[in-house]
Amino acid sequence: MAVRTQTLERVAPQEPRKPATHYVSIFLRSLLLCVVGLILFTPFILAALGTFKSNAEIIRFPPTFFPAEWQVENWPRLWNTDLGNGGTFPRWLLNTAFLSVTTAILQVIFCSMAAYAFSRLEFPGRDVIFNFMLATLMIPTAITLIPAYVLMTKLRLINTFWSLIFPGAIAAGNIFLLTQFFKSVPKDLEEAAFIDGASYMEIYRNVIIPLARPALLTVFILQFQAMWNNFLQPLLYLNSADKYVLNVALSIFQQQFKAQWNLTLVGAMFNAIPVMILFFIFSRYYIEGIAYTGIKG
Amino acid sequence: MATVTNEPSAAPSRRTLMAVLSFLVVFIVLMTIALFNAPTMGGPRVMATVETYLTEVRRTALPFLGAVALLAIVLGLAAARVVYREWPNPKRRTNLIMGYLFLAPYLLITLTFTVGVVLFALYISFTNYDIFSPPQWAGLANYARAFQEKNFLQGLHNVLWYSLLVVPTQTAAAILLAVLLNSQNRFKQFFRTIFYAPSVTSSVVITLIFMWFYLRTGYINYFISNFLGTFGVEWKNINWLGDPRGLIQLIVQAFGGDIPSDQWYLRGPSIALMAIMFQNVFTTAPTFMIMFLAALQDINPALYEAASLDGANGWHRFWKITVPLLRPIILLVVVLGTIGTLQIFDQVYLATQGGPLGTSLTPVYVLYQEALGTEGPIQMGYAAAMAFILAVLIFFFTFLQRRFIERETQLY
Amino acid sequence: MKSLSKLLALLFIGVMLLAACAPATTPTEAPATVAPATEPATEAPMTEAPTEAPTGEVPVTGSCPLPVEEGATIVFSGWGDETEQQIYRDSIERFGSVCPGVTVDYQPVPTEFQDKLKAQMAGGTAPDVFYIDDQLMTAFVPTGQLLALDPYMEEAGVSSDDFIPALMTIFTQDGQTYALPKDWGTLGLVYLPAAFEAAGIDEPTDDWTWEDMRAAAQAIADTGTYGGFCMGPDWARFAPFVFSNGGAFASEDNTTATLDTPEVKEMANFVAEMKEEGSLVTPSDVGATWCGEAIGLELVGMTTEGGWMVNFMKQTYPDVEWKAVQIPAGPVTRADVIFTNGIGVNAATEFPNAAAALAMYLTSAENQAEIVNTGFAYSTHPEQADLVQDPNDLAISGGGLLPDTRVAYWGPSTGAVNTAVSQALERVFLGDQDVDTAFAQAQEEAQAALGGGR
Repeated sequence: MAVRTQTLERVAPQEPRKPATHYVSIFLRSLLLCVVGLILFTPFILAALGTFKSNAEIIRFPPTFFPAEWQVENWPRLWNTDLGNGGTFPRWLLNTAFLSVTTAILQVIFCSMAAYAFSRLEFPGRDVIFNFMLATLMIPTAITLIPAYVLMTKLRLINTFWSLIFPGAIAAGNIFLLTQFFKSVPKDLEEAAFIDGASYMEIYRNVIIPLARPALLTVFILQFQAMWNNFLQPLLYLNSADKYVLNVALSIFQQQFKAQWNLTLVGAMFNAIPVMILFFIFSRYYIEGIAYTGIKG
Repeated sequence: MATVTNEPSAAPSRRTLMAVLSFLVVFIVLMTIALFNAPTMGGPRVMATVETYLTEVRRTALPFLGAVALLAIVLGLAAARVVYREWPNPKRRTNLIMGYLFLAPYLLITLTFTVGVVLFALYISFTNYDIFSPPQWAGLANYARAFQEKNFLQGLHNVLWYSLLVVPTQTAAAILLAVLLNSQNRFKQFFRTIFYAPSVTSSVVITLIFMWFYLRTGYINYFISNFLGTFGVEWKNINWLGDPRGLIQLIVQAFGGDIPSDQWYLRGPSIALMAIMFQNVFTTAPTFMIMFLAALQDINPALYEAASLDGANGWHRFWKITVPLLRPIILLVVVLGTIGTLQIFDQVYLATQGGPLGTSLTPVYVLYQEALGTEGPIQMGYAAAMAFILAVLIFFFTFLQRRFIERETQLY
Repeated sequence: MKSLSKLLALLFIGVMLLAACAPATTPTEAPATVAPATEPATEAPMTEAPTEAPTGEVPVTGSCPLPVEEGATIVFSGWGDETEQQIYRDSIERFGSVCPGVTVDYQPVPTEFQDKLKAQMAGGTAPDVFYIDDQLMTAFVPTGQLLALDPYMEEAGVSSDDFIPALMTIFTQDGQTYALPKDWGTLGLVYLPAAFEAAGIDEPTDDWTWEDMRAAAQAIADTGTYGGFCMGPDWARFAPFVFSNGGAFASEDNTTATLDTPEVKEMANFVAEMKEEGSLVTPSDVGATWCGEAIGLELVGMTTEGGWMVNFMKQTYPDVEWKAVQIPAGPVTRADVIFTNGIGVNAATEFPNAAAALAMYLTSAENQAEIVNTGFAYSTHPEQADLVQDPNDLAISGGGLLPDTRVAYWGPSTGAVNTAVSQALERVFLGDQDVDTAFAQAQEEAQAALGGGR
């Protein structure tokens, strides 16, 4: 069973009845893109520029855009911190990367399995479990903070990475996301495959997964980012300096609200840049992916 | 019900066997979870041996175990009944087994780490519990207290306004951004990354940046006053995050009236709260945008071609083709948005701590203080009650949303 | 698709490989990292202290406060930024030379310390020795999570009287001591000489009263270049006003709130009037996030801030000249508010002697002197008050030793009472309510909290 595919073609432009408005609309669209992009990107630029300023300059009014003097020493200063007990910057970077990649991959696998069950299979208890899953999103973390910690101690997972990987291997929100995506994939292909005698597992692997690629990539990116930015759980569950994640280690340089802004911003950059790079790379597969045209053409 | 089986006459007992087995499995799993999640202290001393732990459990957690046992029996019976009913029919049996097989990773993890905690929280909401002593039964007292406490009620008020204004805005913004991004061919990757930037920077940093923007002497006032200055309109610098004047109050004030302090619930969302709303939309719209972007890829371009041949313009195509096909994702974004906005906490914790005048209090912020004892003794039970009231509210809203938005796509 | 999964696989493998190749974690031991000698001239003040100490209570260098258990390993935790962490690492090293055979694992928690400690305590994995503040006292003492230190103190010859009296109020309950104060802070009158020059008035002195301050604030505000006196709607900044008028937020036994008493309301009216006449501004009025920043940005003439101004100004606004004097006096007396934190011991510790020894050493006169020299905090021993080197710091710290100075501690619901005061001030400053209504409401809220919010 072959799925006819073709790379995404752009919608043919309207017949050139009014060429002027056509080009005007393209121009307007590009302008809009640039303006919106600028607005959305400005805080990021300001944060990046702020990393090269001195603390006093950052909080000055009227605010300056470019730093008066480019202080490049903030970046190496953060990179070279050593808190003893093996707590060094490269180590923290590694810990965070390891946790983020692992949980992201696990989630793509496990969440898509669950979403397939919710969206395509019929079995008793499906809706109850689905509703329960959604309900778990509605319990705020503050309540579960201490009980979850106590549970971790009973399971003897404190100060191990498992305490973050196990719970991080699924997320109700991502399952919900994938369920909605799978629901919007037309059933024709599956039914064809079914008639051809494919098992559920084969359909899952060969039909659903390729078609849901943009959604799966979305889940990967979202979970990577979630774990990368996770703060409270690693703070509670990891005790020794060599196990810290980036966020936790960087908060050492903050003095609560009287923050050393420039160092805080360097920390923010370390947090943001890898995710941006990841997103940039993956978004190519994300969009210029395979879209199928449907069997009936 | 035709029982087409391959088994010899052992069929009925096989059925019963599987039914009994499933009852036992459900019961044992739930009780194990309860045992591990019992409201006891943890740690090496308590967990040293099985006996020490069981003694601890006996000390504090017997009522809890009793309650869970009841639940486990009910669920076990339901499971047994289902298995008994479905087992003989091979197709439905396969469905059942495959269904749960695919759900297995999710179920295992959730049963270990989430279910127990939720059960614990539910039980605790009916008790007074300070973590270190056994829970004291309190019935509905915590729930009654929540509805009488001004902080919690004000939090509910604030958060309902918040959700009302933010969810439609961020959904609409996300769709528009996605459509805008999707229509451009060159530099697509580049622009996509740029548009996504606000969601990528950690929320702590974005909050700090906005706090800086919102200062009386900050950028936002600066730009607005310059912008309005070119029209000759004067602008008085607002201390955005410290301004308690409500939306409705401002409208009333424009007509010369005012709303007194003890009728705070009539004032509408405050300027401070709305400033946080704006920041929120700014940071969450891009995340939802990428979901819409992914969904837009699945729309068959042939549909657009056909429509434009029929004479539909861009606007028509958007409303008649794109939006309906995006329905499941719109539901996703609206539901996730509702859940997120009704539980807003981080920004309040960092930027306003519930001020000014309690106009940015949220239920989660209030219950955080009680659950972790930041203003007085730890009152876990009271916090749990507030959490469940909030959860019921959220569930109610999202249930309505799912009914309303998705009712037509079932026929897809 | 193939190239994508290849990419993912590569990513995964790459991360795994790097993780495997990373240096193995070093087992945690007593700080093997030699702390670089940072304290300048540590010797001189050391020799000065004993000669000025009235009772010579300084423990002999070189002996452990208590006989410790063999091979004890204890975990010590607290909050703090780099500076504080380094200071405590140095203190632990000194402890190690005095009590060899005890291994201390220092696990600082950068933020959310109270939350983490409560979780750890619930989970039974809490450290042996840790910082204590009033919030933690409330959480742990009623249920017996903290070790009563009195028997250990007696054995080591350490008494509560060694410490500044006001500091011990938080850490003592039912006659038992549960923590020893490790440092403290207080407020002084911080000002910009430039502002006074611009207004043509004399700079403040240690004899000032709040009325003097008000007059000066008015004069400075009239110059138009500087705001007068900066004060946020904050219970901590309001407390000195109340204490100096002979008032308090609650009764002696912490069962009744006293927020609607004349003592409190007089001072509330005082600051409210100052706000109205324009001599008092809040940080957000002038575009700062806190009053210290307002001074640094040279937006206001005066404010009340604490010893942290020294390092803050040095690091962030080194070119701004500022000075400090003691907190002004009120109608009844001169009194200040003290903030303090202590060091306590987990009741479930396996090595009570070692843990108590660490707690006592960190708060001992010897160690406190070292800490004062770094300019980080004041010593908790009254006889070491003049070890403070920076003159501004010294002036501010004077407020802590006044006889009527006290901690703003009102029992387990301290947080709620203080918040009620802050919120009342906020309502007054924003013009939402007048003083009487605002404080009547605060009185209700505080009383509800004190009367047992159960």
